[in-house]
This record gives sequence, structure tokens and C-alpha cells, in this order.
Amino acid sequence: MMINFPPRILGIGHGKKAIPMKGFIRQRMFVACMSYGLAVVCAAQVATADELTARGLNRLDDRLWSESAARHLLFRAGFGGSAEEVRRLYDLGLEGAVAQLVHFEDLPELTLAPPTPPQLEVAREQLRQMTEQERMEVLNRFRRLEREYLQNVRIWWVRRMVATERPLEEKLTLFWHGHFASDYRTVERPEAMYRQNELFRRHAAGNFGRLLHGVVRDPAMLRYLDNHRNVAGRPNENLARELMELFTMGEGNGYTERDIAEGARALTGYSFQREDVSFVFLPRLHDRNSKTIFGQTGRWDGDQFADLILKQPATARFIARKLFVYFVHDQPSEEMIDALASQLREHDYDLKPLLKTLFTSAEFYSSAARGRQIKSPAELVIGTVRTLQINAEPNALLQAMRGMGQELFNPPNVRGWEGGAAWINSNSLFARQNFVAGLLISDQANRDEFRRRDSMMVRPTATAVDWASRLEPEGISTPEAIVDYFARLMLAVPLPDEKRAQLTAALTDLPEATAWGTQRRAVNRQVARMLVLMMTLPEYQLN
Amino acid sequence: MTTISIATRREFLTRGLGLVGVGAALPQFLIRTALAGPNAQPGQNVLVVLQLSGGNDGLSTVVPYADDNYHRARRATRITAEEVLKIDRHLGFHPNLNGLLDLLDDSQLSVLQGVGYPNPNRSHFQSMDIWHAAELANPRRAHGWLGRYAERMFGDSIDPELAIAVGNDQTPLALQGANYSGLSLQRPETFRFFGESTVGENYNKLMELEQSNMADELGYVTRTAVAANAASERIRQLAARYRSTVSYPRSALAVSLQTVAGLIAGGLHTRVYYVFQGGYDTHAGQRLRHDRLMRDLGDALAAFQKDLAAQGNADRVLTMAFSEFGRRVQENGSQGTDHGAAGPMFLVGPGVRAGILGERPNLSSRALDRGDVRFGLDFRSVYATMLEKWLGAPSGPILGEQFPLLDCLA
Repeated sequence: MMINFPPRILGIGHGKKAIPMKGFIRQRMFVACMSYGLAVVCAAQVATADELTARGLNRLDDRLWSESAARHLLFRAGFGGSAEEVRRLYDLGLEGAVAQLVHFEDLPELTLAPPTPPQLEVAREQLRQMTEQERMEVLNRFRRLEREYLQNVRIWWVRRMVATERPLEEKLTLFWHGHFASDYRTVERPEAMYRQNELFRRHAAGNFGRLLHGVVRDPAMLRYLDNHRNVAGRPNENLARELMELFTMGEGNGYTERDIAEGARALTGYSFQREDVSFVFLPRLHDRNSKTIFGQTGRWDGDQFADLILKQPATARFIARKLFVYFVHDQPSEEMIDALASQLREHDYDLKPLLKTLFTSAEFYSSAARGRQIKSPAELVIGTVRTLQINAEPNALLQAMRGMGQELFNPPNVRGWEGGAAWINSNSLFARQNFVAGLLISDQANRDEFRRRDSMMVRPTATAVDWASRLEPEGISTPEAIVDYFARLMLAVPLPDEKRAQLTAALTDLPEATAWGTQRRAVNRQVARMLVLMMTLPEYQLN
Repeated sequence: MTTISIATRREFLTRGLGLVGVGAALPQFLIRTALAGPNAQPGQNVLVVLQLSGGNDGLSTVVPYADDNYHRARRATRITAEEVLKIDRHLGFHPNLNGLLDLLDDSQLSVLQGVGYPNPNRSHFQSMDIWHAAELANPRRAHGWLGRYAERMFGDSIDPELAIAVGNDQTPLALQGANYSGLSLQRPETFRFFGESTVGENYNKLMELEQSNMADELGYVTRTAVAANAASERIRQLAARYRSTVSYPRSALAVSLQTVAGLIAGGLHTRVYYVFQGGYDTHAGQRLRHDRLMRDLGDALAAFQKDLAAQGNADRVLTMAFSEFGRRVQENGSQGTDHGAAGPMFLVGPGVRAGILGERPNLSSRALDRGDVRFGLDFRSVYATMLEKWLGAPSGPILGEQFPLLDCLA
């Protein structure tokens, strides 16, 4: 049985450069020290620096910046990346690495044109003159094209996640999609889902206030929460309620049922054009009487209602907490949230200062954070192909994510994906393991098995990878070195000794380094199988 | 007050499944032995919980067709006296619920009217959590009522197969105890690792390794993986062996119920199954959507009961259907209905005391609770009855309070 060193024993005196160790031992200790050692050092700093304690989040000591820390940053602020990408990020130093991720506008955007939405084959007026059957046929064809279009938008987004050099942009776009959740099942207009996605991307790391104003005018959201039915004299409270409960203030945080009712009246007349799904304000359906929201009376409209919400102290705290939990861990102290919330307010809801504070904080790199998040399906799927640099069919990646409980443009409900432990149950764990097996094992036997068992499973889609050519330049050829190399790249937690031994044993038949030139297929098959085993481990579910 | 311990997510994760104490380690073959323990036996009573997600309109399900208030409030969505499947002079089933009417005639259905709880919450999430945790204040901080049942009755040697959720992405809160979270599966044939033919041997060796570090997130994932692997083969074999003689309708609910029927037939010792039917949030265009749901519900339940009877297992299986709330009495301006309060529950199986239980909802405006049906039966009384009289468990310690038992079982 593996002995679990208490953090203190491992942490003290085992700085990564302090004690010379050879080969894999050093690498493995390095991982362990990085995840345990920091807590000790940071605890000491917190105890001495009153000022920082008061602020709740102190900056990471630059001496603790390491490749392992850079890896953690890349996997949390983005969707992971190759050993080469980790190294490049590390070379920038803490400040430089965080700046590059957060100020992503400075990097070139991926050139990938979004799909073109389908057009109805006849003019709308013509529809009315058709027989019932003709009309149904035209509309059915159109709906099929719309569903195809939506799938193409999903593919477009997944391609961005896989290939972008601005990973935080996509990670935040996904965050806002889960935060301001709307689903295609209800909205039924794929173009509106696409435009909402662009809204989230435009403001991903921009200004939360502007994003919120965009959301109260977003056709997909207005449709999703029935605001097109919210009219003067017959208010519908759906949007007003969720706006405060889920999007800005949090349930029970400083608003009343009366605020909901009055807020709903402020939002009356915020609707969308049926034809082109664009926002429209309908003055005749807007309730122009005065409303009292949070004790303030005026002839508020929807945008003024959003401004009133942004002035509530609960809002900055709620957003700060949600971002902290998404990026760091789920147990922030009240002091940390206070610090982040006041920073958010000081900068008028600009998100970049807060993101920089998070990604440079000692807390972000502490043992309370590292390896302590359960990967979302997107993190698992996109992270696997990004990190291993595998070409995979986007459709299969989307299918895999759906099988694990995350279908893009269809969050389970208005609360979005719950995340954390809720991602994991016996069913989703098999889906996760089967994804890696389908991705990496290209043997005919495996393909047949997947095909026979279930057409819904992710079929093997990746083009075979020449693992040998990746390992050779690194000078890695023994089973132990191969296991350690991939463990350091793929795992956010230390690989226990017994599991390391078992994975090494799986490479028993690996040809000698001198024979790699002639036995390439055997090498690649062995490595792929070992990788599948590594990625079926519970350790691989953590980030 | 007892087992409803307040726990943060992290606390919940660190406590461990109970298969293995925190910090301790057991190889998988030992865990397998523990799973085969004497606690849950084949042949015992089974409870199937059927969740109607989204807020079922009770008034369109069990229709008070003789009540003028109903027809006045429901100009667009009402079901007329001509359409309704009459139960008595006041009530009738939705016209698509022939399946339930037959079960009632066959003494296999108990309809509980006006079920709810004090100070009803009209948020889907809050109200669903309240039903799952059987806890009115802060349900998210409590554990699920069936998870607590599993832990109370089966203690430390907790068996993942005790409670199985079929057909949902997420494990329902109801099944999650402090240390227990049951199994979730979509379909038995995919409930497995597919790399078996290529890396199976090494995969199994890795799974059978001693599991160190059972605390925190890693422990939670590891325990779930161990439980899934321990159950995978048996569940697939049992399900594959069963040939149903009954034809089920085509729907997600029917597929789930058929899976459950197969596992029961196979002799799995599971005490609780959990299945879902979604789509009940009918804010607009209710009639068309609700009609379809009713057809599916009635037909799927009828097929399930027929299947259980053909197996000879009907006597020991009881299905309990609920929804997080009913819908507002007054319909809205979009031919739909908004979130309401109390609604009906169904108990299905030869083990029930057939008939209608509870007061008929009073729809006069004075009797309503902010426009919604006021509850007459507390759902926790129904739970208590299921625990005490069907599953043989003490309800007080599990529910945290002794609720009066109902006379709804034979």
C-alpha cells in the first residue's frame, strides 16, 4: 500500500532544485512537491502578511513559478495543451504567462468562418397561400436544415476550443453559456443560439455590466425565459426572477418578490422579431408606469433595471464567487470573495483585473486548488485532444461530451451545468473511459466492438498517432520514462507507485530503443494502450 | 432530529462511500465479497420511484370535471366531461390514461390527491430538491431521503446495487446519502468499459489495486469507479438474459421501465429504482404536449405492470409517481399554466390499497393558496409510509421526524 506523506513532510526542504535526484524520481517528486509544498509556504506567508490576509488573496511568490505551475494554469484557464505549450508558457514567467492568457485580444484570432444559417426556400408571405401539406413540407425541410446548421455551429465551436491560441476566451465563453443558460430545445432558433454564443465570446473577459445589458436584449434569452410574452398588463416574471436569482445576485441575496414583480414590468416590451430573430423593443407593449425596485422609484425599463442590479453589492460578490469556483476551487473564504468583489466594483465590472488576481494568486496554485476539480466533459474531451495533439472528428467529440452529460446549447436547465461531483456517476465514468479507448485504440477488433455494442458510443475517429516520433526527440524510450513523461503531462495529481508499476508493466513488450525504427507500429500500439489505461484512472478525471 | 447532517460538498466527498473507511484500503475482490453481504436479499420488496419532471398539471391528470371552478379557470386547457375517463361523479382521468383506469379497476392503483408541503416553493430547483431531500429548509444542504434510507438500513457495507437510477445524466439527489450515491445507468448494454478486448487485463489489474487516498475528489471518483466496475458485469448479464413477453410503447420512460423490469426479473437485490419522465413544464400550448405525456405515462406503466405480473414479481414491486409541484389553477394567456403547488401522486402495484385517497382539491378562490391548490397530504407522510410499510425501515430517524402513516397499502 502506498504511504501518503503528510503535506508537511513532503513540502519542507524538498524544493525542486534543492536536492539532486535522478530521472523519473525527480520528476515525480516535482509533481508531488508542487501540489503539496505550496500550501506550507503559502500558509507561512499568510500568517505574516496582515495586509494581504485582509485582502484575502496574496500573489504567488515568483520563486514558486514552475513548469508544473504553468501546466496548472494552462489546464484551468484553458483546455490544456502539449508539453511544448506548457514550456512556452513557463518561459514567460508568472506575470507574462497570465498576461498572455488574459489579454488574449493581442493574439491572432482563429480564422474559422462560422456556418451560414439556412434560408426558408420561399418568402414568408408565400407560405400563407400554400396548402397545409405544402406548408408542412417546406417547414419540415427548413427545420431539418436548421438542425444541421445548429450541429455545424457546435462543430465550429468545438474546433475553436481545440485549435484556439486564445484558450481563456473559449473557456469563458463556455462559462457564460453555463451561467446565462439558454437551451435550443426551448429557443428552437439555432441562429439565436449562435448569436448568443458570439455575445458571450465578445464580452468573455470584457465587462460584466455590458454583458448583462447584452443578455437582457438577447433574443435567445428573451425567448428562453418567455419575455416575448411579458407585456404591459400581463407581466411574465420568468426573466426578472432568474435575472436576480441565477444571473446576478443569487437566491435570497437582497431582493424581494416585489422586486421581481416590478422588475418584470420594467422588462415588458423587450422582445424579438420572429423573422430574423433580432432584438426589438416594443414601446406599446412596455409598461411605462413607475416601478419601485430595491426601494428606488422611477419609470425603469429593462436596461435601467440591469443598472440597478449592477449597483447591488450582492451582484459583484455573486459573480466573483462563481468565477472563483469555476477557476480555483469551491471553498473560497468570505475574505477572498470580498476582495474580488471590491476589485470588480472598483473597475466598474471589468473582468480582466479580477482574472489576473485569480491566476496570479497563491491560492490558485495551492494544494487546495490543484488536482481538486473534477473535469467537466469539455475539459476532459477537449483537454485530451489538445494535450495529446490528436486529430479527431469534431462530431465524435461532441457526441462524447453529450454522453458524459454536457451537450452544447442544451444545458439541463436554466441553472446551467451543476458541475463538480455532479459530473461523476457510474454511467458517466464509463462514458469517460470509453471515450479515451475509442479515441486511441485503432485496432480493428476495438472498432468492431464499438460498432457492435452501440452505435451511440464514440467510435474511434482519430487518425493514428506516431507516438514514437514524439518520444524520440525527448530522448524517452524506456517504459518507466514513457509512463513518467505522460503522467507529468496528463495528470494533475501524483501517480501512486502501484499504478505507475502497473502502467509500466503494460509496456513490457515495448521494443528496445534501437528497434524503434523498424518496429514503429508495435511501439505506437503499445504506447497508445498504456495511454488508454492511464486515462481510465480516476486520477485523470481531476484537474 | 437525526441523520440529516449538514454537509458541504467537500465534506460530502471526504467522508467516503462507506465501502472503505477514509484512509483504509481494500482490494476489489474484498469489496466484491462485501457487496455480496447478507443485507439486501433477492425477493424483497422493491420501490420504483417515477419522477415527472417539470411540474405536472394535476388538474389535467386527475380531472375534477364536475367542478365549475375548474372549467371557469381553464377555458383553453380544460378537459371536458365528455372527454374524461370517469372515475366517479366528480373525478376522471385524462382521456389518454386508459392504462391507469384499467389498473384502478384491477385494484392496482392508489391516487393520492392534493399532495404537497407547507409554504410551497414555486421554483423547479428548490421544490425538486425539497422532494428529494424531504427537507423543507435548505434541502441542498441535506442528503437524499433514499440515500439516508440506504445508509440507515445497510450501514457500512453499503452496496451500490441497492439503489439504481435509470435513464438520466445525473444521479438524483434523492439517492445520495452522506457516503452513498447508488448506481446510475442509461442502458445495461453500455454499462461497461469497452476497451476490454485490447487492454482489459491491465485495466482490471488497475481496478483491483489497493486504493489509497480515499479522501476528497479523488476518493469520490475512485469509489464510483470501483462501484461501477463491481456491478457492471452482473447488471449486463441479468439484463441480457431477460426476454420480455410484453410489448412496451416507444418512449424514454418505457425503455427505462423495461430495463428495471429486466433487472428485477434477473433477481438483482436492488431495493430502490429511480426513473424519469420529463417535459411537464407546460407554460404554453399545454394541451398538445400534456396529452402526449399522459399517453406515454399510462401506456408505459400499464406495460410495466403487465411485465411484472408475467414474471411473477408484481406483488413485491410498488411504483410511486410524483412531480415537484402542480400547476396554477388559473391558466395563463398562452394556453398554458404556470408553476403551482400541490398535486396528485400515484401508487401502482397489487400491494396498494386501490382507490382515491385525500381530499378533492377545493378550487374556490378563497380556498386557494396564492392561486394554487392547497396541500392536504404531506408528501413526507407518503415517504414515511413507503419506508415503514413497504421497505420495512423506521421512517422517523430517516426523515428526521415522525410523520403520520397513510392507509394506502393493502
